[in-house]
Amino acid sequence: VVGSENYQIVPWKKFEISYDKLIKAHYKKDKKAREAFDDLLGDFLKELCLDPRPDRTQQQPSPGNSYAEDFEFRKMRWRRLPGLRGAARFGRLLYIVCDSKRLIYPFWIYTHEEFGEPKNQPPSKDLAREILLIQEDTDSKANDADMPDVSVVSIEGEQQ
Amino acid sequence: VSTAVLNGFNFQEIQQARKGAVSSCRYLLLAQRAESIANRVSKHWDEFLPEEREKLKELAHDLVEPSKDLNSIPAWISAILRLLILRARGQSEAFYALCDALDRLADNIFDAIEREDPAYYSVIADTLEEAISSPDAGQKLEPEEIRGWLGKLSDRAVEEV
Repeated sequence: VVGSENYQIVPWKKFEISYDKLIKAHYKKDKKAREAFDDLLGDFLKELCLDPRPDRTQQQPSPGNSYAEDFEFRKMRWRRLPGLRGAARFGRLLYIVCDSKRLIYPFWIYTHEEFGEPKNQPPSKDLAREILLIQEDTDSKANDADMPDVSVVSIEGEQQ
Repeated sequence: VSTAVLNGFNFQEIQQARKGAVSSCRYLLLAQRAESIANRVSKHWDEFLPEEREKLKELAHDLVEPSKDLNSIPAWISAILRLLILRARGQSEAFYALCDALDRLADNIFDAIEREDPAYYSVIADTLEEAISSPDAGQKLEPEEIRGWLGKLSDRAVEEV
């Protein structure tokens, strides 16, 4: 019976915050492109409900944790997000597949532009700042959201 | 392993190719080289020398840099004319193959940049902890609810700007 059921999407606050950030950064002025982006992502998430591992997604290495067996990390890459140019048109979605519960957790959507130019900005600092901002936002909204508690994050030796 | 990775693959020639100024054979050759480098980037990024990685990163950013040439109507007309000429010469298929190969190369380099970033795995480790501690937390969406949910998020984000 389990094998015949679709997977369900569990939208974490972490994903919603990164989505909010992406929309504000790239789609605040172009409604048509924004709707096309919503359609693109919506269609992909619907596809995941039927097949959580489409060929064009890649498995990502999991942290070495024995409890992680039931959670598979995957990444979807788009090369042409609607209405965007330069590094911003390369979109990425990170999500977890949990087969035993038939759940999919999208947790981070971003464009490559968030990683900064290699010539003038160390990428990891930019990314670390990005993640810390998401984490801070998540912490501040955790009390009124239906979501799990956010654990401590450690980036390059920093403790939040 | 890959000291000669970018030999015979220079940005000036790629720019010329994008403007329709090389032969069909050259398009296909460049496309093959781009494909080959893209595959190596995807599978063996760790084997590139640090200076090669830096060159590849610069190349990727140069490849996706929006063209300033297309900011005027005459420039658009010129670009369309170039495409028509390529078509008339029977080179359009080779041209698009090169464009696709270069795009894939840039995408693979960007992916490698993201994967080599220590913070990338911090996010994954942190998220795993969250998933293990509360796997059932959060509302579950059926496929037919997804588009509506995204639309609400998207509208809310724009309203807040």
